[in-house]
Formats: sequence, C-alpha cells, structure tokens
Amino acid sequence: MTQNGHQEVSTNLKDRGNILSVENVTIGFDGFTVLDNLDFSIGYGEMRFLIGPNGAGKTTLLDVITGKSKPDQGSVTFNNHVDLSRRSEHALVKLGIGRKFQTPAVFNSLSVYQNLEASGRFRDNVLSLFRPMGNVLAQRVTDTLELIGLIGRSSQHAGVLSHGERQWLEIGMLLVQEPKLLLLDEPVAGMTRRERDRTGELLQEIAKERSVLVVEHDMEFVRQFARTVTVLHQGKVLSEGTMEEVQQDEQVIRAYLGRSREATRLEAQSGNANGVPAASPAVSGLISAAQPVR
Amino acid sequence: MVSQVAKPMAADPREQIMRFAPAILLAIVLLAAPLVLSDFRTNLLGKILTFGILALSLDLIWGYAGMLSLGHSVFFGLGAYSFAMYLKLEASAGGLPDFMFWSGLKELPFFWVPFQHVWIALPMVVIIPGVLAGAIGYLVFRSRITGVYFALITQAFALIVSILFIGQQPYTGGTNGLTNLTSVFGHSIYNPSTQLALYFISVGVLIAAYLLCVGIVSSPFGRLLVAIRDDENRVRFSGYDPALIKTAVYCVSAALAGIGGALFAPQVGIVSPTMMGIVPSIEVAVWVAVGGRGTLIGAIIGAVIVNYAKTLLSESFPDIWTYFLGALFIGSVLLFPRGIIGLLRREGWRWPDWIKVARGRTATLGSITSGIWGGIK
Repeated sequence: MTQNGHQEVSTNLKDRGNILSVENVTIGFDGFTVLDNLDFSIGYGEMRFLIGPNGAGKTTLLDVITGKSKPDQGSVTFNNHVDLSRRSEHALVKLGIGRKFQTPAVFNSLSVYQNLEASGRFRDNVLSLFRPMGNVLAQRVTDTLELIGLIGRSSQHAGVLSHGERQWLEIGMLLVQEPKLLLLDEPVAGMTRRERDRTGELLQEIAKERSVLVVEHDMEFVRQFARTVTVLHQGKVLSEGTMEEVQQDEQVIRAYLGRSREATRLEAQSGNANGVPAASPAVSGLISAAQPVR
Repeated sequence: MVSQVAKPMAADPREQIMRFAPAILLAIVLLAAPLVLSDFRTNLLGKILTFGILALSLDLIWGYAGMLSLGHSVFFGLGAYSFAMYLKLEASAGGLPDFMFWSGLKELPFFWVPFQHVWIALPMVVIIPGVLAGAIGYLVFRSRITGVYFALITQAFALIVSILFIGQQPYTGGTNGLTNLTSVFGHSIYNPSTQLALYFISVGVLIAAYLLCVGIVSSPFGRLLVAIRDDENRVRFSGYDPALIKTAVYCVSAALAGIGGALFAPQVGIVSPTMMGIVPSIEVAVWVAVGGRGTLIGAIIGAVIVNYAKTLLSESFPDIWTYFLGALFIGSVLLFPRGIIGLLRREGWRWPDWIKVARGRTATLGSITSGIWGGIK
C-alpha cells in the first residue's frame, strides 16, 4: 500500500515536470558514501519535506543542489534543462535557487532593512551597487518585512534579534530574491511553539508561488504542515508519500528504530550505544508519531 | 505607495553632525596648523598625513570588509617609488641616476624610460599598486583564503617585495633606495614654500580620500563589505561572488595607499625598501587599531597621534621611546578596544581584566571578612 502511494506521487509529479531532478547522484567523503545513487525530484509549486535519521545525507543533498559539494557521479537538473553540477554557488542563486542554512546566517552589523536590501540586489554588478536601490526592490523589501513580521524592527541591527526572528529574517532575505526553488535547512530549529506555528503558516504562504524543500527534524511540525514527505536513509530515498504513509512504512520504522524497536527505545533512554545516534529528538519524535497509528 | 519604512536609516541631522564632527574639526586643525607650527614641524605633519592616507586605505578593507592586510605599506612603497623614479630622473638632469652609474649600468633600464614623463609616472602611482593588488587579491580570494591566513600571505608578500627591491641594486637603488630627490616640478624640495604647498596638497588629498571612503562605505556596496565581514558564506549563497567584491575594494585600497606614498616621496626626499617591510606594515595596523577600526576618521587620527607621539618621544627619550609606543598600543587594546573614536562614541571603554579581577577579589575578600566578622559576633 505504501509502495503504491509512493508510485502515485512520483508519476503525478512527472506529468507536470520537475523543477529539480537529482539522478544517480553519488558522493562520498574519505571513502564513506554519503549519497548512494540517489534519485530525487521535486515538482513545480510543490512543498516537500525531507526527513531522515542523522547522517542520512539530507544536508549533503542540499550541498550538492547548491553547488557547495560536487557529486562524484550523477546529475542535478534544474528547471528541466539546466545542469547544476558545473556551476558556482553564486551562479546557482542567480538561477533562482535560494538556501537557508541550519544555523541562521544573517548580517549582524547591518539593520534588518539593510539585510534584505543587501540580499535583494544580488543581480546588480559592482558599479551599480553604488546607486541606491530602485523603487521596485524597495517595495519588495517592505512587502517582505511585512510577510516575515519584522516591519516594526526594520531599523534595528540583526544582531539584536531573537533566534526565531533571525530565522525569519534569513527566510525573508531569500524571498526578496524571488527564488524559484527554496531550500530550507531546519527552519524551525530552536523555535518556541508559537514561533513554529507562525513559521509553518509562513511556509504555506511562500509555497503558493514557488517550490520549497524543507529539511526538518521536528516531526510534530512535519506532521502538521507536510503534504509530501521523503525519507532519506543512508544516502537513498527510503520512502515517499504523505506523513501517514511513511510512518507506516516498515522500512522507515526499521531505519529509524534500528535492529529492534525495544533495543532502540532503551538506547533512546540511556543515551547512546554503538555510536548509533539513536537518541535524537527526531527519532523519538517519529517513534511517538508512529505509536498511535500502529 | 512607497511605505514609510523605505528609508529607515535617514538619521536625524544632529546625529549626522556628531558623526562628522571629528572629521570637520580635524580638517580645520590641519588647515590652520601651518600658522602655528614651524616649517620643520609642518613638513613633519605633512609626512604624517601621507601615513594618514595609508591608514585610511587599510581601514577601508580591515575595518569594513574584515581583511587584515599586514603588507599594506608595500602599496604605499610602490606608489612612493613610482613617483620617486620620476623625481630621481628629474634630479639627475637627463643623466643616469647616480646609483646606476655606481652599479656599472651604461644606460637607463627600459622600465625606467617611461618614468621620465610625469604624465606616465603619476598614473603609475595608482596603476601599479592597484593592478598588483588586483592580481594577488583575486588569486587569494578565489581560493577562499581569509582571516589570519590572508594576513600571513600579505606579510610574506611584504617580505618578498622588500627583499626584491634590496637585491636589485642597479635598478632600485638597493638598501639605500632612491636618495637625493632634490626638486619636484622644478621647485627645490628644501624650499619652505614648496614644502608648504606639498603640505596643503596632502591635506587636500587626505580630505578627498576620506570623502571617497565615506562614499564607498555608506553605499550599498559598502554594506556588502560589512556583510562579507559578518558572514562571507551567506553573501556567497545570496548570489554574489565575494572574491570579486573583495578584489575590487582591495584594488581601491592599494591605489589609495599608492597615492599616499607618492605624496610621501617629495616631502621626505628619500624612499627606501625598509618602508615596505613587515614592521612598517604592522605599524599601519597599530595606527588603525589605536584610532578606531571601522570608523575611517579614527584611522587618520590614529596615524597622526601615534606618529606624532613617536617623533616627540624619540626626540625626548631617544633610548626608551619604543617602550612608550608599545605601552600606548597595549593600553589602547586593553582599555578601549574600539579605539579613540570608539571611546568618544562611548562604545569602547572597558575595565581591563586585571582590574576586574582585582575588584572581584576585593569584593570576595570583603564578603568573607564580613562573614567571619558576623560569625564571630
């Protein structure tokens, strides 16, 4: 049943074409294979959640898409025809791929407004950067400030923002660039419940106009906001479908729980064993999420 | 419907005046200084102002883009040599410069020939440092060498260039450098009126350089420099090539330093490879740190104060003056890490750790004593 669900989703997406296709990508570091012949794609206008145990290769996949790491083999295609594997990071941003990092990366010494301005002028050449920004961009900056809820703090330094506000600011810095594909690495990490809910609503708003890929560990958040979830494990796609479907997938449960569920639960309680990072909140989140269903 | 937040950084005029007050004050003082100072002191201050331009150029890349160059006096030196080559040929009155004659050269080396013309020598003051900085900068920044590694590379660069100039005696004058520069555009450089003119040119160029730097750092480009200092990776993943931006500002900075050097040469009458070495380069960083990094005006003030103090101290205490200089540097780093300007803006003062520790211990001792005393009672 899960297999069917998986296939249904994939075929639907293929009909519409993909904004991003990752094909047969393999990448390893020091002889350790991180992505193993990975096939993965996102359709136009889709919001996809990517989950998986620690070390599954989620962040490495983002690194490959954004040009930070070059794959050993395989291809990454954007917008059905653009090969991403030979381009530099900043060139990929100009194509319309925006990325938010795991820890919020904003410019602390600049004001919130200037952060958005600096980000929004990414298509200007060095000389035109000496002119003030145009009205179109100024309006877009204001709109973005409103969308991320920081309009009242636009003249404050980004360094004084709270953790959650920094996360929103970084998302705003991407939105100002009007990307076609948005990659968000753990956008709700370290947020309070209320901040998390607001971020979820923000993501839904954002996803109306573009494709979004969210890497997330917070299972409650994923269950609340995800439509399609891809589970990555040991560098491969393990399962794909709705949250309910992947929760019931035997393979997923095994991947998250290890050899036997009892053993893993003991590990989760006692800390760690055999170097397997089993006690992560993600795992316990998935266990508790899987429990009522079964 | 451009919203009300469109220009949130348009600060109120009083704040703007306060911001530029030190600069305006300094400009007035510098323009009036020849009225009070002797010819000798005016000439000395003129030389120091060229150091001010050098400090300004370093602050532009260090204070804003976070690139600490410990080889910046090389660009100053190259600017100085470029103009001094012209001056040397002028002093030699059509003949071969004296040091070439002693080294056994029969005719002027090919790369000296263009420097007979002032309209080639003057542009070279900017072009040679600028192009060299562009080439080195792009290679270094493209390889994503930052921070202390960049500082080390620039330091090695300073060493290489100074050794090169020392080693090429027939072409560069070797250890002595280019000496006996006697006149500039037909006016003797020992003439007080020539020196006064050079002084005012230095003040004018310094003001122009300051305004140029203010223009750069308050433009969107300048904010991008600060963004690179804060998080270079975020800048890269925002669609900019940081290597390009850093190379651009490094070129501008090197060219500015070159202009400072060109003004230095006629006021001192000698350029030598020692002014391009590692120690003079580190001194520039000291001036900027003492004056206040990332403030522009602080760099100038730091250069003036440190160099003037250096002169006065070396006159009064010829044996131990370097200790005063060291104390000034250590003291400023400990007491006002944001420099003199940071202190004026009330951001920079802090108690040094040893005072804090001492105060803490006194307090602990006090509470223990009173505790014991209370116990006894």
